[in-house]
Amino acid sequence: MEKIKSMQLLGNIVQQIQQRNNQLISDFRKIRKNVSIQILLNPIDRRGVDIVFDIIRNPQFQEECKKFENPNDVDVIIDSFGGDADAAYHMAKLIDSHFSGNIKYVVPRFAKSAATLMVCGGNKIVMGETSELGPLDPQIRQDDGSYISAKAVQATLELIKKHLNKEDKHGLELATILASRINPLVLGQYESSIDIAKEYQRELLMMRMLKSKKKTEVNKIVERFATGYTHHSRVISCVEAKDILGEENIEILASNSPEWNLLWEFYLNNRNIADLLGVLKNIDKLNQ
Amino acid sequence: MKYMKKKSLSQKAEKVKKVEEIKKVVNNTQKIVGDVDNITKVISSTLYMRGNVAVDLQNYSLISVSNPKDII
Repeated sequence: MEKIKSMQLLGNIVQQIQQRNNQLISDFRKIRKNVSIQILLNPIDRRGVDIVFDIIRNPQFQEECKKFENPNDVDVIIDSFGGDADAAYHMAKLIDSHFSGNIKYVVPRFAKSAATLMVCGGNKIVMGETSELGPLDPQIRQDDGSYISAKAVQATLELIKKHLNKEDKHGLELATILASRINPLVLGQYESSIDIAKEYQRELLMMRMLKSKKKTEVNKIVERFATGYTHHSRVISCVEAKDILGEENIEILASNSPEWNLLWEFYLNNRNIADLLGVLKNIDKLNQ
Repeated sequence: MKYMKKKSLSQKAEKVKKVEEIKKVVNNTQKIVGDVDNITKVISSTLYMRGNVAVDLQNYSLISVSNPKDII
């Protein structure tokens, strides 16, 4: 009984925040003159693909699009630290095939790793002072549900090779540690996943944003995202994003603009909702 | 004949064991589905849960549930 009561209390708080969010999103859409979808996934995974698919073909959502001046345009508000590159690519392709107008990916705070890959599938990326893109370093899901960076595995393999060439015992130690964390039979997959991520990014960029650019120019950009950074969580700010992808492809919103204020409150609210839902899930598991 | 009887008895025992195992899996699955239903019940007017993702069909948002470790 206590459990249900506390769950209801937290549920009410979630509902109140959600009602505020509905107002924020409604105001944001009015300013932008088109519909929006909000993807706040950590991690981005294949379940997200199913849900995005269900949303964009939902008759109610399609009716909502028609209410705006630009019914074929969409803003995709994204906040994610990354995840499955295949899922991110697939979601970007789904959104691309359902909207013939402008697709703009809006980043209030984080679009890292696989989320960076995803935002390459639009016509423009909308950023502000707090927005962060990141290097493209595919994360591979382990059997226990955790993710490991393909680039980190590649770097460790290089280090092992170096030690083994010197007949140094550290090579063997490192190999043992690595084998205890990941299945040695799928090591080759890590190498190929970096190539696949590059292939995905090239395709997504050439779909809309860099459609008129030469393949060699796009390849340079892809290479910078894949190997140009040593640090996985390196911040790629709106200024750097402009430098890499071109000024015309990054729309910068001023921190005091009405759109940014709405976005920022929405972002903070969703962080709270995610935490409250986490607590709810734990309460629900109690005494079971 | 005796051997045949013995064999069919052991086969029966194995079948019962398998059925018990399946029942266990079904019970556990119901428990998991029950988890999701409880959360959906208290937030159902605005959100519904799909695994670890809350889906809002009023403003079309997908929100991942935080991991307890991240909250603390």
